[in-house]
Parts: sequence; C-alpha cells; structure tokens
Amino acid sequence: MKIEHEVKNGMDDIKMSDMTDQEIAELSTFIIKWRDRALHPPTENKFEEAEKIIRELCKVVKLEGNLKIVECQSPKHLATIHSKDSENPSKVQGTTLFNLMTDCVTLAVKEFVQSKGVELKSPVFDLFGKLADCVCAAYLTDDNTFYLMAFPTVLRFDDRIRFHSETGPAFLFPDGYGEYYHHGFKIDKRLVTEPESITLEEIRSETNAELKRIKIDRYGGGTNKGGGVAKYLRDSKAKVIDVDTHTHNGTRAVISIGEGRDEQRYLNVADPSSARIYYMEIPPATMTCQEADVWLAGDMQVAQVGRT
Amino acid sequence: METKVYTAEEIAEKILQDCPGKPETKDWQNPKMHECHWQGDVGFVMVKSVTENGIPGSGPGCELRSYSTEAVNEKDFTGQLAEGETLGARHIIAPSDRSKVRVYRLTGATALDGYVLDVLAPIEVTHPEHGHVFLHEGTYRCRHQRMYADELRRVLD
Repeated sequence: MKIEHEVKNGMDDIKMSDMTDQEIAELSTFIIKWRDRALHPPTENKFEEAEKIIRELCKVVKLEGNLKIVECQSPKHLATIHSKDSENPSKVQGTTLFNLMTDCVTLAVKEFVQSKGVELKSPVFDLFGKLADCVCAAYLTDDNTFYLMAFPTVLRFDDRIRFHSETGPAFLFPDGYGEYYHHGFKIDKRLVTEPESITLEEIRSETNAELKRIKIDRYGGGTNKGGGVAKYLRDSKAKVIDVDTHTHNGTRAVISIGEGRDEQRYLNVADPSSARIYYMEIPPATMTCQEADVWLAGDMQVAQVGRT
Repeated sequence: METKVYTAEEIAEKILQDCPGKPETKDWQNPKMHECHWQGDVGFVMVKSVTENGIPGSGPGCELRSYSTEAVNEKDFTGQLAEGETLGARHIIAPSDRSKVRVYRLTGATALDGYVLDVLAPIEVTHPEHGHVFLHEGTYRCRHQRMYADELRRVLD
C-alpha cells in the first residue's frame, strides 16, 4: 500500500493507493467499528466538554473571531434558534464541521493509517474522535456560531443501513423531533403510524413512483399485519395480462386493475438493485411486457445492454 | 407445451424471487452506437456526437437527424443528472470525474430528454440505490423514463 501524507490548512491530508485485499479487509474492520459507533451513539450528551474541544479545534485551524457556541436538541431546534424557521431545518446555511454519521469513515481511516505507523501531525482527527463521545454533530453557521447537536435517542435502519421503521420515527431527537422513513425514503408520519388509512383510490391517484410503491407496500397495515402487495392486488382485483422474463429486467408482468373506463394497466417489475417492486402505469391498450417496456422508454428503438 | 397461468399475487411473489436485489457496478466497456444502459429511471444512450445522429425511435425527442445543443455552464451544473422528489443524491457524476465530461442541454428538449454528456475519459455515475455505472469515452444522451399522464411527463422518484 502506498500512503501519501501531508498537512494542509492545519489538517492531515492522507491518500492511500495500491491497497492489498488484506489491507482493505483491515480497513473494513475499522470502518465497521466506527459505523457501529454511529449507529449506536452514546445516550449522554457532554456539551461542556464538546465546547472545550470546539475551542481547541478553532485554534488549530486558526478560526478566529468572536465565536458563539450554542447547544441544540435537534435539527429543528437549530433552525428555530438560527433562522426562526423551524419548518425548514435543511435550509440553515452553514458548514458541517463534524457529523458522527458521516465522519465515522474519516475516523476509521485515521485509526487504520495510525495502525500502519503513520504519525499524524495535526490534532484535528484526535479532537474529532473526542467530539464523537460528546455530541452527534457540530455545525458552523454563517454568523460564526457553532451549534452542538445532541445525539438522537432513536435510530432505526433496515438491513442495508437505510433509515427505516414500520412502527415509528426512523430517528428521534431528545426534543421530540423525528422523521419517518421507508427503506431510505422520507415519508409522511401517517403512512407509518396509520397505514390502515391508505385507500385504493389514494394509491390509484399517486403520481410519484416511489410513493406509489411505498403506499402499496404499507396498504392494509403493511406486510406484518397481512397487508402489503398481496392484499393490494387482492382488494383491487388485479388480473395478469402478460408475463415474460427479460435478460436485464428479470421477470415482469402487465397487470390490469379496475374495469372499463376505470381500468389502469401497470408494468409490474422489480428493480434489480434494490429488489423493490414497482407498478409503472402504462396505457390501458398495452398487451405485452415488451410493449410496456418500449412505451416507458419513450418509444426509443435502441438495444438495452444492461440495467442497474 | 402448457403455460402456467399466474394470479397477480403469485406473479408479484415470483418477480421478487427472481430479482437479484443487490446493486452491482456496471463498467460499460465498448459501448456501441444506439445501445442503452438504464440506471433506475435514467437511460444512457450512446450517440454519434453532441449534435449528430440522435436516438432512433418514434417517441418524443427521438430523431436520427442532427440536433442542436448548448453547453451547460460548469458553475450551473451540480453533477446530478436527474432530480427526484424524495431525498438522496442520485444519478450523480462523481465530483472527481466532473472535469472529464462536457455537459450539454438539448435545444427543444422534451420531458424525456436529459443532458447530453461528452465523456472525454471514463466517469462514474453514482446512485445510492442502483448500481454505479462507469461510462467510457463517447457521447451519451440521458433519457428519462416516461410516466403515464395526460401530458408528456417523466417518472419522478
């Protein structure tokens, strides 16, 4: 393995190349360790200690001036304090100095190169490591204020480490701010907490492909309650019009739901990467999967060589 | 030969069973003219150049004659080839590869026409859910999947 190491703007800049399989495996163990730290954060917030670390970091990176440091309980709380707009936490302008969820890989790389005998010149990564024990994140906003974010009290993921929960918020902060996700997609609370309220008509009129799929998945209370795709197909009296197996798109089917002028047809197909089943609406006159495929591709006459 | 007749529930089950369900990176080497690789709802169709020989077919934006494009200002281009409604960075040209591609907009583009990419050296188009795709040197027209609606619309995810 080749390691290039220099200090830039007060921080260690490390580049690794030509890694052996053994070295990649070793790095993976550090990544898994830090990823697990991020997925299972401490329950206690240490704001005072985090403030001292931030002031030390500022000295190292020569960030001078009258800095304010503020504790906050959630992204929504930050938005309320900073811009008085609690509805738009994502619109707060600033820089993420540290975020345990994303910097866990940086911390893993730091430990890995140290295990290979590299001596880090800057204390920045050590300070990040200490910060990871104190708070979830530190943001520097455009008015020279550091916001220290409390650890979430709830974090739920699916087996591919995407935010997901079928029973409550996928993440929840101490002040009660949380968001709801279905296999990585942010959704309304109702789809998680009141899936019985999803109607066939609502699914029928949903134009967003992901939300349609999620509503079908959650229909009738979700799969855990005997709902989901099977119940949706039963209740909507779906009929199979055509089935085939495509080299790149796998098994697929044209299905028909409803009758007469209310009929809707769908190409029922799985995404090969995520194994999500999609219901792509197609013209009611479509008779075959191949016709549906060509229509969805905008009637191109091209050779499909792959799908990921 | 007897053909099995499936119910809609059975076919949904079979579709899921037959699906590999894991993202695989596609290194699309030696692409040929008018071949297409789909990354989720975005297709990459190899064409002759940024102005010549478009996409064959009878659909919107399909024509084989020459077409016109305008270069996209680097500052205006985020690297994202299709914006969705839900969260997540999808169909993104890897930041380290942005200098290896010239990006154009099609004049009179339909809702299904995306950027035109003139790839000078291999680039990686990343996606958090679908497999990443390596596009090699050549020109590619991005094409969006069609959504069933009264007007011509592309699928949004």
